[in-house]
Amino acid sequence: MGEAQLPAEFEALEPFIGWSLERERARTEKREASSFEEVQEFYDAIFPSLEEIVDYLDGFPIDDMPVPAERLFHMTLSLIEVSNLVERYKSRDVIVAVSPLKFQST
Amino acid sequence: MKTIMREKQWTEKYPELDTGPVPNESCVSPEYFELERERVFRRTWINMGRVDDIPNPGDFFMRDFTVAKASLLFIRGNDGVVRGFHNVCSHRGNKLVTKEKGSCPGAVYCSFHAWLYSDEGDLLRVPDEENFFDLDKSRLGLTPVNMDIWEGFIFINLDPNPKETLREYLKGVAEQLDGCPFGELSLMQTYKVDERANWKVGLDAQNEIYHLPFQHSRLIGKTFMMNEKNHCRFQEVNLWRRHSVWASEFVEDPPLTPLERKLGGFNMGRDNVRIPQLISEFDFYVLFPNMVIILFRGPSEDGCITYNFWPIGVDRTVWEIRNYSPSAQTIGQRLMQENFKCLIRDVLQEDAVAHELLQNGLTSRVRQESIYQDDEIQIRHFHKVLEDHMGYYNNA
Repeated sequence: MGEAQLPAEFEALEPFIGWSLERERARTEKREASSFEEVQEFYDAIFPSLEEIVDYLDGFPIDDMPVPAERLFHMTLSLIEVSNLVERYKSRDVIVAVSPLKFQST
Repeated sequence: MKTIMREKQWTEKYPELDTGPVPNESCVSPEYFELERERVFRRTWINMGRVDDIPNPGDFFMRDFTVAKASLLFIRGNDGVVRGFHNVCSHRGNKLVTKEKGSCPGAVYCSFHAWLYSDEGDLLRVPDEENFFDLDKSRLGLTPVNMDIWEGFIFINLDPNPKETLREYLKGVAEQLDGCPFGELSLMQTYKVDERANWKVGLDAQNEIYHLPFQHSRLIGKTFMMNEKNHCRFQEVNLWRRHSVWASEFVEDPPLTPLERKLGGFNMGRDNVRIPQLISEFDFYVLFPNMVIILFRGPSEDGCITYNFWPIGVDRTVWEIRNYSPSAQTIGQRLMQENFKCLIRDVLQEDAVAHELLQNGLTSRVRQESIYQDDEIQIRHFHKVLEDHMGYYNNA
């Protein structure tokens, strides 16, 4: 494994660093490009740590975090991004909606 | 709970609206669409954007107002004033600015022959000026458009002599929302959705909550106040001369997801923005013809969503969605906002499919009319207002 990207306390989330994406569009693209199982695996890994993550991030000014903390924050936004898929839809098959990518964000 | 569950109560409040079917022709007829350009979009006050979109001197945004065959340019001048112009050079009518948004500190120039205008619209410089005849630069500034601002929203009217001021035009909405703290909310996200549907198909589909328990059963099927048979009921409906609002409560114990249960336990900051103008907890205003303002109550703060439906063709529309929230002070608050934004977006993605399915069905012309129930009275009202402007069916 390469150099740590996240704060040391959250080392266990390093394998999911690909979900640390600053822009909403990129998070949506990642969700769409992932299988349901991959999304579920990411959700299962990060969800139990959510309280600890928020506690940790609350220690910094919201607009001025150290880079590793900011990466963790962006990863947490990806948890939000996938939560409807995992918690409400529970399967891609039941979704009757346009591709999220049709929602051009500016 | 303030909602009264009685059936057919809104038609009792507005008995002058009949209860019969409404023709669908307005959503499929190319001829109707051509008439809308002139009778609706070139004669009414149309929201173009917000003053906050251009906060600094020299900031501009350009709006291609396709249905009205116009392009507009809004610039905050060096003097801090927001002005609206036709996006057309005074020289030979070339389209001036092609970027949607940007900053032009001091001046705007035309790409054709480099005629140069100040950010207040004055013509500053003409290359080879000596070779022109009787050129009076003081009369060749950018062409202003009738523009006015209400609560930070920029409106224009392409009628050379508007029949009403913006304030008169907004009657009803303006009185209800004067002083609303829009300026304390920041734009979180703008989406543009290019839809194969008439602009009114999308607007009408958004303008009711009858469909929520069905079409959005997994996302927000049990979010809005319902009667004992699980049918949504409004707390309030107000229909004005042109515009309308319906207001709905949320259910008292909504089913929370595991994520929402956790988010509810985080620090949400202090002194968060509240909107005293809220009638209920989710207020949906339609500003005739093509704008929607939604105000909503969150657990710790309030927010706003706006829609602008931009007609491109009889069966093509760009649906612009903007999401506004207070600036987050805490991580918990920021995550709550992100969760709400993603939920709304995912709901609207389900709606976007429905808009195109509706257009498909309507285009077959198998059904000539739509049927509306009491909690859809606002759609009936909208089509009456539209006909007041169009005079299409009565004169046909």
